[in-house]
Amino acid sequence: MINNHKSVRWRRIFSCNLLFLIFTLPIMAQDLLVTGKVTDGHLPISGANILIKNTKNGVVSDFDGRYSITAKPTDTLLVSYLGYTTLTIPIQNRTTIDVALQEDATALGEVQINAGYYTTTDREKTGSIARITAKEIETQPISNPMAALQGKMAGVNITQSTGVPGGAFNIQIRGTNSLRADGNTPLYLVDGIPFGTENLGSTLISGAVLTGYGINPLNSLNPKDIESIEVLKDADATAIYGSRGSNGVVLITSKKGKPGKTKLNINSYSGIGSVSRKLKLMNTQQYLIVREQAFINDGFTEIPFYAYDINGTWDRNKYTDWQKELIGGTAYTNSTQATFSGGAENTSFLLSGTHYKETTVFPGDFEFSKKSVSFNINHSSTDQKFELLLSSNYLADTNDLLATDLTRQAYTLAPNAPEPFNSDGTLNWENSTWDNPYRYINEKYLAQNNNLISNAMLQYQPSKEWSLKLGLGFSDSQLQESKASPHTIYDPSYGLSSKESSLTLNDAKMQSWNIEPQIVFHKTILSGTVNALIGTTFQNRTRKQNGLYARGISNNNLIKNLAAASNISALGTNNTEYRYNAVFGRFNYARANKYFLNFTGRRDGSSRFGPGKQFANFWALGAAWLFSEEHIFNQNKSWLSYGKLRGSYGTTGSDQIGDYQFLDTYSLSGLNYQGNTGLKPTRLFNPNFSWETNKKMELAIELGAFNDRLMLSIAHYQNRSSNQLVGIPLPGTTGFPLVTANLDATVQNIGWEFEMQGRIVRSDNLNWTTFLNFTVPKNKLIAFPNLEGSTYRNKFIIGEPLDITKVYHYTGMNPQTGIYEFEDVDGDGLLTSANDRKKIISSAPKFFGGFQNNINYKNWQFDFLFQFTQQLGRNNNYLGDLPGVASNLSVEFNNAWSAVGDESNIQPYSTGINANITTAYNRFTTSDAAFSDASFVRLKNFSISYTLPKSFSSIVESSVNIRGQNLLTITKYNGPDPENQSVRLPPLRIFTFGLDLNF
Amino acid sequence: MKTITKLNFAYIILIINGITLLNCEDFIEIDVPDSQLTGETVFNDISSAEAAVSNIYSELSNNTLVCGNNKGVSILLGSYSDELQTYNTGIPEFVFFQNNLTSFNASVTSIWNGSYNLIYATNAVFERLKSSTAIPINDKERILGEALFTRAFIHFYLNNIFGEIPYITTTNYTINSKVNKSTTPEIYSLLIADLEEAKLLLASKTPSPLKLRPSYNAVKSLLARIHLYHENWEDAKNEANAVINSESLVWIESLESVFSKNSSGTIWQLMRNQEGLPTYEAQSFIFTLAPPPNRALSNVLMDAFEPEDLRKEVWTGHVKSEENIWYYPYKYKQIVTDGESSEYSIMFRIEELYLIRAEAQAHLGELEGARNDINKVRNRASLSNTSAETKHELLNATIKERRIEFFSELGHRFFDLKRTGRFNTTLTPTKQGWDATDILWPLPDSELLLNPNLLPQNAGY
Repeated sequence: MINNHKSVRWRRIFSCNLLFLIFTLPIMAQDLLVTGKVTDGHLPISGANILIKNTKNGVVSDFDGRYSITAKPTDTLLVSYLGYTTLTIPIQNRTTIDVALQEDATALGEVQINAGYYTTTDREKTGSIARITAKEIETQPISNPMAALQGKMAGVNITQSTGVPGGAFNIQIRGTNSLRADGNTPLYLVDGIPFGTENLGSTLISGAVLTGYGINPLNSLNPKDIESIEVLKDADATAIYGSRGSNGVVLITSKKGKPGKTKLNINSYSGIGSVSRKLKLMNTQQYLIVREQAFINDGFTEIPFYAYDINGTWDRNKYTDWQKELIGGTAYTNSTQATFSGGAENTSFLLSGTHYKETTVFPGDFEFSKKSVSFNINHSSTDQKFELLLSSNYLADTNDLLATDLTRQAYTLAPNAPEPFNSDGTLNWENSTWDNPYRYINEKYLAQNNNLISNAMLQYQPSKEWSLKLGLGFSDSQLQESKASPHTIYDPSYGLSSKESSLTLNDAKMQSWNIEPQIVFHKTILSGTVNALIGTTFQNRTRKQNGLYARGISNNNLIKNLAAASNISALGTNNTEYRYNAVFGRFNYARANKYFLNFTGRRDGSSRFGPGKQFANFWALGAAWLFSEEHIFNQNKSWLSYGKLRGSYGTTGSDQIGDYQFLDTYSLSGLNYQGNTGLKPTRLFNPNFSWETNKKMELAIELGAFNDRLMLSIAHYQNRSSNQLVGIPLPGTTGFPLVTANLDATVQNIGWEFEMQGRIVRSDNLNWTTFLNFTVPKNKLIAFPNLEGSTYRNKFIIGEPLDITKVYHYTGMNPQTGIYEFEDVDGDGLLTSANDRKKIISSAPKFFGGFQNNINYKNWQFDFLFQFTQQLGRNNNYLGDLPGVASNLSVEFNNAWSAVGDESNIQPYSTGINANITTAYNRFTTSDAAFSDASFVRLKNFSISYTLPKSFSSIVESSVNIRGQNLLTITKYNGPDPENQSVRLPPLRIFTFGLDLNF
Repeated sequence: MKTITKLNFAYIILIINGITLLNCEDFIEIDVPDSQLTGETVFNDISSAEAAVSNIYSELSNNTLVCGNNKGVSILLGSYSDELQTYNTGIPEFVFFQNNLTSFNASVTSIWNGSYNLIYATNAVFERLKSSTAIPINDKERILGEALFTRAFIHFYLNNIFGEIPYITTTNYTINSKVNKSTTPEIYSLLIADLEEAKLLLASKTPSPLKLRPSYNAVKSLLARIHLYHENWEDAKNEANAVINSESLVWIESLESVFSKNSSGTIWQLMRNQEGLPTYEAQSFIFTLAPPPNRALSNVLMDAFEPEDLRKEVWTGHVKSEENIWYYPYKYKQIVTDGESSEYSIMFRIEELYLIRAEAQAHLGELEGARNDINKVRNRASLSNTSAETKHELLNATIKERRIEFFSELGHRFFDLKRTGRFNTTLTPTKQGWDATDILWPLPDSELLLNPNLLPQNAGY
């Protein structure tokens, strides 16, 4: 398969090269050759645009700021550069024109923001679009691009669920909209091509080491190849994505070559990572006290034979910090990227190759590595009528891990547990008295993932007003996962042989293509500007998945060889196809540079719905009023330099329900009877369901003061998602708990988003910009017919957020017995889950945000980002085991209650046989005492870089940098890590040293 | 210049038209996935139709109602009555042992939902197969008969556990979601109707190898049982007679072989999800540690064995500690996975028909016949002939014999106590939590919320 891929790739690159050769034809000579240098007053500006006014002819300044352009002596040059005021310079027969650009305070109107099918600017946008660029992504030593968004955007909440390489990030754009946990994924597009984030992995294989469904597909994108990531939030921005825009849209744009000098950039860093936060666990003495007391409490007069940890079988004086041994290692990160880019007036290209490698903090040799090649070429005809953009990304990653995350072992293993290895290096089973955690090192998880995304955009502009576009995309992902479990992971005293070794395989592929023709219209009508487009999309995606389980391996060295297995069984095949078709359009009208109206709409058809239900319409209307442009503000030259009111309303939808749900099918049950594999009815047959709809409303005000040195934006949104595709709850007499249908349930997300940007210091040598974003979300279930009779009854409450847990209310300890007590809500004298777990805990963040600073001082650049969240989370009371069983504990469980009058709030220990203590403890773990404040402030990212002075080398512009992730966490949380809140590996603290060379 | 613009404009209109036309429904029509089958295709082919039926048996033996793990009645009703003692407070059957069920109980809900899911599957088989023309008539009749039998079998258990329940005969969920309870006489006549039809369909069909599918004899056995429960002694006797005299069944003399998968006394049995696995019964009951980790046979049951009863030796196992001894059911003995299973879970065996006939005969005044049938069962267990003489004594002797013969099997004990009205007198002294209303399990709370037509809830909940 891999070979096949390579050949496809090479063919692609070869054909690209051909195009490149064809289009790099000599340019026709003109009357006058104008040359010069563009500077900011001191330093050269490379990449500035020099355009001949009223034509499309232009060039870009090179590395030294130099340019040359042929023009008529009467022409006028327009010189522009991002963040600088554009200058208009008549040539007036000169052949040398040096230009000094002034930094522009109000650059709002210049930065092109990608809105998917069109671009806009901060000034003109009518919708809510957040954005980060390569500049910000590059300061972070990360492998998953989602990590770059953490803490950067209002309304976008991202959490890292595990520190294991290849793990997933949970992303929520303006809250949870769907009642189905798997129906809340945003739509991802890479260069306009839908990027399938449905995991191809199998939890059977990766479940013990990675969260979610194995390796996260977004790891297949290389952060360093990304030019910008835009997140579309409100109806105005997302309605053009119609049915798939309900949960927001993430647009990922890859870097493109720019005309100018051919450049080679080499960027490399190496770093070390370690677990950012450790639990304070008991030492051996403390642990032994707990255990001995537990046996005393349980009425043992002597320690039984099976309590190896305290009866002398194990060394009672030994102490091992298992956190240090099992998850305390150093993960080494190494990344190198070379980018070769450049271009002439009409053609530019970029070619980059990246190698990234990351080892783990676990013992043993494990690593995640990825290699990627990215290529794109851009060509336009001399008359600018034709334009062609071709890009292709290929990434292969290998995740070689142990199949089990050792974090739980590290937290729970007795501190006096035996030496893991014998003197000869073999696993020590200490006469079968423990399950040596190092056995997991022998059980390997291996994922190999190949991902190709390629697209082409052809554009033809017959006149100034019209242009035709054709977008073509193709993507292919292949994942092969395996878990090899040799019999050596079990205690040899069982007498097992390689007959008990097993191999689990998952082989999955997903292929998709799309075609998107569009017509774009641009014209000045009635002293306003009209921008309009209409287009259509065809998308097809096929997915194939196969699982195999092999056991009875003749020799462990052959564990990967299916031929060596005596018994192979199929775990099922899942082949699906998804087709999608839409017509979309946009009509934008701008008048007098202060009134903006934007109408977008889409008619969508999806194969996920039955006949007659496949199509639906979505639309949105957005408007903006730049009131600062009104006469009254302009006249007074007030402190208010920019002011805009904007609002939008519209609908989006979701078809994230899985394929074929409307079909009447039988599926394989996996149960064998008389040698036949059983077939069972898959579901109740109902072809009459349709889209979930999300009505989104937003109002926002954007202000700029003191010449835009201070910018503020406040947005309020209200999204109501209804027609939920959870299915209608049915009584069991129908044979099924529900029938797939649109349930008239409504989920509301309301929120406030604040964003502030201040350019605190602006001078020649020092620039200091600070950004603050802050979000207050509120999620609420507004309606759910028949909730009490549905399978969701214990999960949701009308009027409460979706992520609630119903728990007992802990009322304290019984002063006589020291047993935990809980509120008996219905007063029947019994504590029952159904009647007394009535306290509602919501673990959704109350607010979250980020605070970023970029400071530039001469050649130095400092960037740092604090991320903060206020939330409740499950603490050690939930995550630990019953105090007294053979499992280590957080030190807060020291000093249990022992007699009347004790001040302790820890109930007496038990080894699990005291029913009162055990039952009370189980309730305790499902009570409000198992939740506590998990708010945190985290120094998410820190970066210092120093650009070496020109004198250092004349051919290389180089800089060195020191960067870090998750460097500091301030929290009161009594649990492992406030971000992932589990016994999974916490996010790592990473330090890197890097070098950036520009030739 | 103008003409060019006009031309361009025309092109653009053409393209816009094209785009709107391209938005076609044909494109998003997809084929059925090749990893699933539509309901229609399943019943156009004999092997897939068989797979749809045999999955119902798999579910019964692995996942619900009559399965041998703690999701089935052998354990749940065994603990609920006086057969099993629970030693683990953390397992779901503990509240059954305490007779402390609520309408929120997950095991109750899962038996209810699991059973009706299988009833749906039998109805789906019945409805679809009836209209299928691709299946040979002989196979078609046999499968239809099996489906009807299975539908009756599940309803019969539900009726005895929950009392009045809806009798579901269609897959239409709009009807089934608003369905009313059927009264016990209605259920009885529906059961009889289904089974009489199944009898006709299965009459001349060759039984499945190893009795892994319900046969003509199985239908008659269930009929005998139902008639017995409804006190139609004559019919019960006649159906039992027919089964006992059937040529394909032979009484087994050796207690050791009664539960072997080749046993000639077996009428219908179910296999696990994979050949070679032990039965769930063996896996759930057999223990080697003291005290028992989960469950053991109750003392009252062990005390009910007559001293020389061979069944105590052959069909129970035990673990001793210094002071105590605990017994477990050892009818099913295979405990490790092997190349081939040596036992399957038996649903009907010939011994039951003898005891049904004994009871029916006693009621009909045919005391000698009743005595002979009881002795047939007793003698095999090395017990002397019964001392019972009168009708009343013989009836008591049958119930006692049933208790010992069928202990830990499919809730026989609980149903016997219930149908003979002995539950209060028997269970009140031995079971602390027993109330008269415990005779029925609660209907799942969610069920009543979603379909108020099923109200009222059973008394006591």
